[in-house]
Amino acid sequence: MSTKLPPGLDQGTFDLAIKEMAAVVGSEWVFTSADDIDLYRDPYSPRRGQPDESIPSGAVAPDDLEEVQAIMRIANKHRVPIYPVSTGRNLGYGGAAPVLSGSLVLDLKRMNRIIEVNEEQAYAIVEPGVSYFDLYRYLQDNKIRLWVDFPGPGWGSPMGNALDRGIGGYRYETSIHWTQHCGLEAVLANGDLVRTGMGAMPNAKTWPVFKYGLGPDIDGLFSQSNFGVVTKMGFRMTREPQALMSGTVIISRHSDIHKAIPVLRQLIDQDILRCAFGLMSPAVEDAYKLDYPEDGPFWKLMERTEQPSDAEYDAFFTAAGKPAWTALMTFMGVEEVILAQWATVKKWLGVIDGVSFQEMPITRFPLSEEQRANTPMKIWEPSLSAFAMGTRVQGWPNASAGHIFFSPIYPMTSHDILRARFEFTHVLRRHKLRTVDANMAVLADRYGGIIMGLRLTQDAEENARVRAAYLDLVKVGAELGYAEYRTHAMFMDDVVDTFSFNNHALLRLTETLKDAIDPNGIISAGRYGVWPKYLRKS
Amino acid sequence: MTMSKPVLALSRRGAIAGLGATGVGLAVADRLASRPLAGASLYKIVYDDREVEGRHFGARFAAAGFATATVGDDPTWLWFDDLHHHWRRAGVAGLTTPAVALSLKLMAELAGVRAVIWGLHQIGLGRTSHDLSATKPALAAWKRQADAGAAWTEALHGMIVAAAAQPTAAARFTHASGAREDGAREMVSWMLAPVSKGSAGT
Repeated sequence: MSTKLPPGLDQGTFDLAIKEMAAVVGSEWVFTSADDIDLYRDPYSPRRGQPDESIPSGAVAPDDLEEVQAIMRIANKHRVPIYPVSTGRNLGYGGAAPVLSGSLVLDLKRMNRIIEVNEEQAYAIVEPGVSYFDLYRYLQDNKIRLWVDFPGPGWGSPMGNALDRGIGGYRYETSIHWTQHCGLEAVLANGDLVRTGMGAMPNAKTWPVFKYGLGPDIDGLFSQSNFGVVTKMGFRMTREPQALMSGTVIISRHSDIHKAIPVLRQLIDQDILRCAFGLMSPAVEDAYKLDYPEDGPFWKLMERTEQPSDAEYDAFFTAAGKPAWTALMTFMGVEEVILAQWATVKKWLGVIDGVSFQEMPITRFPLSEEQRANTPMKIWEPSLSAFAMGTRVQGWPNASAGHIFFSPIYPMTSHDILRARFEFTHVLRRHKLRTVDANMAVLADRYGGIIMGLRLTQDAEENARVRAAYLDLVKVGAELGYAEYRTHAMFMDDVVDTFSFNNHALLRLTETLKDAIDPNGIISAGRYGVWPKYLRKS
Repeated sequence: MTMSKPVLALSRRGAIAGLGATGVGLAVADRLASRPLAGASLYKIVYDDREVEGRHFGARFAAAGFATATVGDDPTWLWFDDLHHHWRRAGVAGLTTPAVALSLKLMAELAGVRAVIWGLHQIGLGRTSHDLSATKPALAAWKRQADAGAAWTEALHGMIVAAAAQPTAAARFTHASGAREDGAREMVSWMLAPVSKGSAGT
């Protein structure tokens, strides 16, 4: 028996719904015991074990589209709130735990069919339970020379990551994975089935190759939202390049960032620089190490009430004896072209005094089995080793019990990069927290961002400080005009509340749509701040 | 490098239960949620053969007739091509780096498979401390061997065999641990087994 019921639902109605769902999927695929539910709690929850932790009432795992439709009809009839999840756990953003405690998790992991991979057209059509590992292995086994653009560690679902607008990283124009999706199939709250884009035309040959179909483009309604359960998605894939190389730009003086960023923007606009890349300060990285004193010079700078001047930063980095900035870039494509791109980067940035460059050997594809085995950094291959960040790290004295991500976006200007680093680090210092990631700006297209992992522990009081710091980060970000591009389930209301133009007109519009498409409010209540009418705050 | 015998260290976080003053760090307070261990057998033993303790551990199980596999820093394809096809029917245990242990634990939980043993071993120059979470019978097996002066990898063998043989399993683990001693290496012992109904398939 479930220990947590959906709000407003009595035990009898819940049990009846569960019984009906079990008749659809088989009782072995309906989970309501505490042991089973435990697997759907967020292992990285900052409120783990606290009274306000969100805990599902159970989970049900359908095997195919027809079972999803049947479950949705049952849930809609009995008004059981359901929370669809794909595969992987989206750790740091809330895991599989629902926004609304007591929701029934709709676990789509069994729907793991790769419907089609088309090498010639470079696309795939997949179900939600397909992981990056599944897709990568399929490509390898079938000797298909396409790449899967994955976020580490690869246990997640290409579809789930795209729907949450998660990121990958081969090329900046596709680094937000939602941009790679191309047509989708979704089950609505009443069990009805819809296909979008060209997929709306039966037997369309263009579902995974032309995004827009005809008429209103409604795909976005299914992204970071709760308007349907997506059951298939067309996905554009990356063709294996002829060659790949990485290079690092090293900028010795801090204040030269004001010269370097406009050049980097030009390199992007002229199609020289096509990747998303990280900009960081090695001397700042040192400040997060255990042996760095609490009253060390970097922390003194960050504890100031105003942003330090360029001269003060220059003095700090000169004293540290390390370069002020490094930027790691990846180039992929035709060898002659990427060599010319790297040469252009060196030429244009090389006019800045003290800038130097390091490059890695070029890798040419296809690789032999031996080359593949001996290549140390395989950016095209998902790996569980990415989970190492979840264990003990240098900057934290105790092993982490998890982390929550704070992920603000800002314009790609030197002013905003410095402002974001200072203001957000200042907030963390005020709450006596350290996070290494505040040092790393990810730059792509016209924007920059930080993906900060705020580390959690076993200590409820310390985690309460992390929660308080998170709310402060959201508040300070809003004051600066920096919004998150995605957020943790626990803070969705707080972040959505900062999108308040014209008395929250955007939220009012999405609520109007929610009421029309899901009138009983059964799908992912509260996801990204969109609550059903019966749970909406006045 | 030689292996030290078990030194029983008081856990920073765990409740002391079952072993009195000897004080192996335990965290069993709410972790003994019982369910039949579906398949009281071990499919495979995984060990880090770069460490002498890992090699001793692997050799001990191999000598007892268990299938073994080695792992370094990346368990990806061992998991994908082998373990995840089997661990819903029988347990898998290992002695690896903390990162490998965490990776496999997270992937196991995704498949409905649970950690029934989780031990952090801090291997110092003259002293090794252990912070263990497991069932009472498994911990009792550890203690018996530790009291008898066995090497700690031998005690681990006894603990894992006991966990596999018992019809109950511990639950609700976290992977946090106490602070590292200066200069100590860390290894994690673990056993992942099909405890909950979620492990029935996929």
